[in-house]
Amino acid sequence: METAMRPLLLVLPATLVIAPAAAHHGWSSYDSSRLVTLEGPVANLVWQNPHGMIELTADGKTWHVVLAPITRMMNRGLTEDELKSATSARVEGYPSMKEAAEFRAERIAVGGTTVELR
Amino acid sequence: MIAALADLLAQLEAGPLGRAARTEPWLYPGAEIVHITGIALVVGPILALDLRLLGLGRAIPASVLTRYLVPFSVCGLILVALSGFVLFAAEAGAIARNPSFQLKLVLILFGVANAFLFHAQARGWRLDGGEVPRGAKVQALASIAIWLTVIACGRLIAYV
Repeated sequence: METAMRPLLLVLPATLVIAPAAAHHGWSSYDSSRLVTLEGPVANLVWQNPHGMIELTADGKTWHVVLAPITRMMNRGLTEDELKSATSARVEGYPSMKEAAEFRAERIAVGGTTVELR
Repeated sequence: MIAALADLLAQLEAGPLGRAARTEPWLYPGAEIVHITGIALVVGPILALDLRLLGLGRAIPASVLTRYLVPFSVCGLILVALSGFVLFAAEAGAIARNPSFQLKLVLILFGVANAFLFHAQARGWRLDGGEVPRGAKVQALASIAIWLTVIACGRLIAYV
């Protein structure tokens, strides 16, 4: 019984250490106290699950904007082609407190339409 | 959405629980872990019981299985409800508007109602010896369909 327990005692603390590193894009890593608006040219769309991503440059800073899962974006009227061919966009959301250039978008306005992402 | 309900949800989301769920690093993932554990406790025993009614494991009297398994499901329901409330508070407005979430709630009501109906009728049926009545089998099939769909709806909230 004792020898069987030992590997378990090693694994459990290890998962607690690994978990924070894996908690990327988690709710608590964003400053949701104030809504921020970014507007500017966009590029390098990543149309993937679990969530898409696009680069947006506003006020000289290039942000990595976290979007939504593919099916949610499609369901709400946003297409890969539309985002890929977009020259600029406006996003409202929250900056990350962990990653200096990461931004979690609540909504994105591109080509005249605003799409809720949450 | 009704204005009064929208206000209530906004209050929940902006209130201490909503804020804590969004900002306390381990609260949201902790609630997710409890939620998943609760799901296992609710659905596992229900599926086991449903499959017994459909003919699996005839050596075990159905009444004995029911008496043993149902309390697990009840504990599970408490866990999913409490943890679910925390997850809900983090973005109450958006989740309440989410069609997958709405379907999930409706199906949970159906699932619980189906379970109550079954247990109300079970005493009249003789489930331990011989063939399980057709009504019980229909309810078992409905139960399986409902609870598996509830799981899917829960997971798909983020994807619709």
